[in-house]
Amino acid sequence: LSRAVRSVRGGDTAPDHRRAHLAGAKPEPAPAVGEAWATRLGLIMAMAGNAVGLGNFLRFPTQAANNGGGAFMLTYFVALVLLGIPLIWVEWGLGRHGGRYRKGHLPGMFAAAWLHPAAKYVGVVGLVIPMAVMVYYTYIESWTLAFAVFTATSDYWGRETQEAMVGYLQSFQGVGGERSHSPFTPFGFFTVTLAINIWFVSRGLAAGIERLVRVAMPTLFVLAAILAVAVLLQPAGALGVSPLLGLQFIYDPEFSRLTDASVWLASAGQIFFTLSVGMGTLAAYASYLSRRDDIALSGLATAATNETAEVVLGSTIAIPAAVTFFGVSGAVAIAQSGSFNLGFATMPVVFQQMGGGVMLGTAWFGLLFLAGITSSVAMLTPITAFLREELGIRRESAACALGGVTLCLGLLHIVWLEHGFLDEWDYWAGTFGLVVVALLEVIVFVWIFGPANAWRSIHEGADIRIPRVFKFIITWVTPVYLVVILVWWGVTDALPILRFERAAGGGPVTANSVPYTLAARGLLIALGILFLLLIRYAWRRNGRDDRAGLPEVPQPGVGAAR
Amino acid sequence: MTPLALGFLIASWTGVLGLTVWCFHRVLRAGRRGRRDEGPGDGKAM
Repeated sequence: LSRAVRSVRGGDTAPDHRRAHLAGAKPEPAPAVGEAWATRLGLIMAMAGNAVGLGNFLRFPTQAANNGGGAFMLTYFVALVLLGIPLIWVEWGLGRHGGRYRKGHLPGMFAAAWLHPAAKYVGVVGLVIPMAVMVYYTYIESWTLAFAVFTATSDYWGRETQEAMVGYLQSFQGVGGERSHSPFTPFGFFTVTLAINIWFVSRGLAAGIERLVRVAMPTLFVLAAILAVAVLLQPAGALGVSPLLGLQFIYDPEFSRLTDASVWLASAGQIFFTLSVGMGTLAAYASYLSRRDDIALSGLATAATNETAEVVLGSTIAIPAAVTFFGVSGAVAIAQSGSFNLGFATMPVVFQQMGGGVMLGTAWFGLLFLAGITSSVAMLTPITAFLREELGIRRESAACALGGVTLCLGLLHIVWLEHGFLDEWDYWAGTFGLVVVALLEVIVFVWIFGPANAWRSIHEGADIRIPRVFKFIITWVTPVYLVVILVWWGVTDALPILRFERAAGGGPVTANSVPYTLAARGLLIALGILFLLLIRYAWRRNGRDDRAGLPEVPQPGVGAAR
Repeated sequence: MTPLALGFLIASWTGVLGLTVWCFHRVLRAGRRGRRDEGPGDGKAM
């Protein structure tokens, strides 16, 4: 126990620093008080919680409905094997490798794997993307908290049509003509949601995030299972349609759609969102593992848990419920109008027509809130790690500072929601940016660090042997898949959006929205420049020689925090 | 529900749930083996 305590406090790091000093290099500052996961199950729950988010219950059914149901599912499983699971192993491997040098952020991880002065600057995407996504994701998460309260208090009861509920949702968001909410309501819920997030992040891994997920994840699965059973047991609605038709709608393969490239790209995109790859958050969590800890089996367990939440539970709730009460054509129209309309307008209409609707509706939004918060607490982890490890800022101070920044930026999203500010960040940071980060991770960890080194690194301490075919997949198939997605999205979406030919949220660009779009892009670029300057300052402050490599500071690994 | 859709649903759910159960079975088994091999208080924490 005393060894573990010394290790957690950084006591075992002294020899490395002395060695670095004797070799003539300026010694690194003493690492911040180490962090560790308390248990392996806690780690897997945290990783799975990071992955299981709003996308599992809102985006997935919408995408499946819009892209040929069963055809989408077939391409989805192909993308899971060729893209999702390999990227999970890459992120865990990159993170654990960075952790050997006490680097819980992509600039440090890239510098550890690629001994080049540019590596740390390339890694800036691993700070900008999670920061940007955290801001608007927390805002959307606050809608789930608000609607849980509105449902529990039956605030919208009586609005039994889709149009009436869309009006209610828009009133809450402060867009559209209806004004049945105070303008301060979204601010209040956003502030409360953010404060809860910051509290858990400030408590650290074992005492904060791990404690949260050990309660939240089982609760989430229980709530989802209850809702799935309640939906499937629903008798046929007024249109004479049973919920099983909703399941058939999702699982009936429309083989002709398999030749449609957009279906393959939609499923690949969904795999990205659902597994939370391409944000650096999985890598940040994995950086607290030692070389003794397994990542091959744990990574696979994380992906499997997420897929259970998505394929089994995510497909059984929203679309079957919508099909039961609106028919197949109605559900398709709702899905085409967006996943938020499905979750925040259609589902409340459905719950008003179900027995025990208040309880089920509260459970639905509670489920979404838990799915959201277990993901959003992960998004701040790489940035707090950067501030602690590179600038010596205490965890609590770092969390509070980031909370302040998130609050200020979040207010812009609330005020300018109707001008497409959120859509712009969601596209560049939360859609296109994820693919860019994932491609950079594969290039640095697999191609530059070396396929053999990466493969060996992933297998250190492993409880399973990954089939050798995955070495080929990780080295060639996954990066080619990523390049194809990037080029396709670049041509079909990114360029038209960049040139104002259409809005990031779909639809035409209005002259009124152009200044807000430019402001959104300008703020993202400003965030990037700010983080680049911070990286430059941190590396100079710590007197690093990029080509000599970073001093090794072993992590205590899972269990040291107990 | 058409037989094809039902078959696809059963195959998808069985595959996903089977993989999840297999993974957690191996995680728990590795934890027990780790504790047995390395002695109390020094094994891989579960």
